[in-house]
Amino acid sequence: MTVPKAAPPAAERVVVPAARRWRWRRRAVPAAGPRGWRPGPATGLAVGLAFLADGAGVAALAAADAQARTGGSGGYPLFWAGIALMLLPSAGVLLLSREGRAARLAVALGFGLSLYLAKVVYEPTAFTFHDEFAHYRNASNLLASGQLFGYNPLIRATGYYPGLAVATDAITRLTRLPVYASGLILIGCARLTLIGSLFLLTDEILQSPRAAGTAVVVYAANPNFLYFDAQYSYESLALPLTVLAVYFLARRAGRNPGMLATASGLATGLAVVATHHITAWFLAILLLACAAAAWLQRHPVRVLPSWLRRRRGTGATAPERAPEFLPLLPAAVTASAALAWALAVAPITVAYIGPVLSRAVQQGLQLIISHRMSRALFANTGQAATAPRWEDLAAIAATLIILAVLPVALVRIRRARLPVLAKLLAFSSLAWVALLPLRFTAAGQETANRSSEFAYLGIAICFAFLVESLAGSSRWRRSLALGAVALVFTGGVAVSWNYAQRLAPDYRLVNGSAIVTPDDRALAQWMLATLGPGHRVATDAETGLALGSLGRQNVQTWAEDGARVWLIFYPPTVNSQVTAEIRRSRVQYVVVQEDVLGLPDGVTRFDDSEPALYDASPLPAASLAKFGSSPLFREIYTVGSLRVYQVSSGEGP
Amino acid sequence: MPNHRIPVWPRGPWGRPAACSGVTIASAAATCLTAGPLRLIAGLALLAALAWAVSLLLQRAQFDAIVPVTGLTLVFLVLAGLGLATVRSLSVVPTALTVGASALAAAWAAARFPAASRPARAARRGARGYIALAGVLVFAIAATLAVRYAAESATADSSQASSLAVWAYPVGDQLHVGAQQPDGHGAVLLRIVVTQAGATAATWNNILLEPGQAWEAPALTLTGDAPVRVVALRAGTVVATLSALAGGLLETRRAAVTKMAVPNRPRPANAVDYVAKLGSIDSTHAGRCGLAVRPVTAAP
Repeated sequence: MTVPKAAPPAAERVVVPAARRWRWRRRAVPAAGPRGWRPGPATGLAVGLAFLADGAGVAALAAADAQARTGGSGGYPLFWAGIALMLLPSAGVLLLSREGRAARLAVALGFGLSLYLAKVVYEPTAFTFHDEFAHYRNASNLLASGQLFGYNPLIRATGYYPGLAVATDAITRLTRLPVYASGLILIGCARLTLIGSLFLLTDEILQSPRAAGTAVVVYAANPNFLYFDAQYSYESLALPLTVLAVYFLARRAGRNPGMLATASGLATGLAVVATHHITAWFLAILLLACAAAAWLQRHPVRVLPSWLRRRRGTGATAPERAPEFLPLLPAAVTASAALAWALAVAPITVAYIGPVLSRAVQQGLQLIISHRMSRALFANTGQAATAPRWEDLAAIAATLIILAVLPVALVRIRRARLPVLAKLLAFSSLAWVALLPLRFTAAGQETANRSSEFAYLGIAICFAFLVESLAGSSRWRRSLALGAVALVFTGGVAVSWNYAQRLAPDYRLVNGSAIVTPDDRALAQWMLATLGPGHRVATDAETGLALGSLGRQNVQTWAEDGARVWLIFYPPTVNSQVTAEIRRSRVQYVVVQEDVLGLPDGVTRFDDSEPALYDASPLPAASLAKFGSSPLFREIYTVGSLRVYQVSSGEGP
Repeated sequence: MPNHRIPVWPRGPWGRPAACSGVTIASAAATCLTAGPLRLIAGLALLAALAWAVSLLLQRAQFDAIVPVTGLTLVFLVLAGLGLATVRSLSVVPTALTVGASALAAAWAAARFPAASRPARAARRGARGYIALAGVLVFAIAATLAVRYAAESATADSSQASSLAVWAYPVGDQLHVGAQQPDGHGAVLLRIVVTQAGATAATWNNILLEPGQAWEAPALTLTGDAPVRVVALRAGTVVATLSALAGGLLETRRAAVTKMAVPNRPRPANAVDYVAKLGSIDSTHAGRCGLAVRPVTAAP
């Protein structure tokens, strides 16, 4: 898999009419000679200082989280100080300096790793984010049974994409580490792969280490980078592998990746297919589009109309150009494998993703047709603290900067002689623009947000191209670019996570129905050890996360089981509605979290799908106390605000 | 200075594959045969040997090889894990053997098919390079200390937010009563009282629970339908209560049919079915009917 780092092929360089089109050329970043570590003026010092600042940034974030855990008020300044320590020195080396390629790659890896550690110090002892609990269940199912596709009551579809679980299983079995530690190692390696692959990919297609460094910093500005894609989740593994697969297959025109790289790309694509649905589809579509574009380039006469041929510079009068690599085999294999997996192994995926997308489309159409917004930007949705105004302004400024950069960059990229893959990635950033209005809708916001990690690949390419082409030779322009990139990064962090949850929770103060508490974990472990796994449990959403993962119980939800648990909890007495739902869902245990009483109106209490009429008014205390005064329930466990009731005559699952 | 190379041991075309094979075989054997910290080290060494073998196969000695090597190791873990799970061989020995065999195959394939032009290894690191390495080292130390500090902080907060747990669950005809004091709290002296129909069925005094310690009483046999109540007291103050109006749970398991009320109706499969057939029913009515039938869960 040797990748000779030479100038673009001669055929590529000589044919570009400079008067008509912007010509991409390699900038004056000093060649590293041997592709290793070549010390230049102050090379080691800059790199060393960048790593030093990364370490200090991680320490500042750890201190910020510790402050938040003790209820202190200095957490947020420390948080932003830590982020600045990570960003500014690294971005300075990547954008401003004249470091060699290896030095820039090292700084980029340190930058990505330190941002991953921001999530680790958030909760270094246990999984804490929603999806992590679901994937913990998959891993524990696999460890317990050794069989794929175990039942997952939290997010059933995840059980049919076992890539993350089997990799965790291998590390856990080989080292005897707990699942949490294995997951940390796995996602940490995935983060290194993501950053490194993006760097090498951009370096390959733009032929500039500085552009590669710019792409890394801009990509890290995507709102899901800091926390969401650092969590123990299938996308956190699949996305790095996707970028790696693209890197294996991406080459400048006229060069083929070679058999070993193609085989590696193929294997990586298959691993992605078994790991995450949307990422696999993204990779398949990208490779298919790349193959189609490369094929069209090779067969211009028969396919393209004459006006398009002239315009595109193809045809008899066009200058000769080395043909693009045609990734037919990787595209065909990845696409067919993704399709086959979705149809034969995980048909549940459509039912899982379909409603989300259809609601997004529906509300998007409503927004276009009737200009009706169902969501206000930066609205406080019930959390205790609201973000300061400057964070909102930074987020808006970041959006405006991206919107300003994309058209300029895309026009230039269209005219530049870049690999088809680079152009496809760059133009995929338009998806981010297209989905931007969905952020004004309640149902579409998630779709718009979740597309960021894919769309930012294109945005990063655009920024890298523009910064390198416009600011490559001017130090003050590069400084300006650094300022813009830092602002984009700040805006991305500002909208990355709910403000009130951006720092570690103080378990003594937070509502137990809003997060998984230590008491939830204690209960889950007790149930697993004492009662065994697999019991059907009705409870609130957050307690259900602990019971469904650590406790390996089958928590009942509407989305996964069709259970209407709100019918069990909301009535103030044990009436026929309650017993009918218990019988229908065959509930064996009811777990009551009394902190649910403290949730504000308008927030779902027991199930994300519960009708709005239930949570529109306060929950009477009698609704939870009724289980203790009914002979149908036997109270068997109490800890803190949690009470467990055994349904005296429930049926087994 | 492209001609200056770092001397890498062992030299020669077979040296590194042989060294990699040695590490692989030793770590795979240790993974299969040992336990405890040695097992942890052996497992990590086996994974590192796999990554080493992949790097040999890729024929890339440069620094940027860390990226494809890490990624391909992850890819291998995913694909090999899927293969092992498909043939239902997900356990330690098959996993270790698969990883080890693959590492050996990759290492010797690299020796058998060397690249036509092996790229130069990393150039000599001058003083500035060592400054950069020192920065990396400081980063590693700072990150380790930060994670450790965060872990201590999180553990302390988690412990302080934990509460005393009390349980009383039925197993067959017996009631199992217990309590656990979480970490982070001081020792606690408890008194636990079990009453049935207002009469004391059992009392345990002076239960000393150290932090993180659990206590479980000998199994308690109760009879009759009367309600059961379990109260945990600390210095005379109630700290936890468990109550079950259907005290006859334990008894009725032996004679579920005879305990059913309303004999003129057909016997339902379970009490919830029965309640559903009765229609709307409040707890008082249910209690009068004696609807509690049988415990459904037995401890393992």
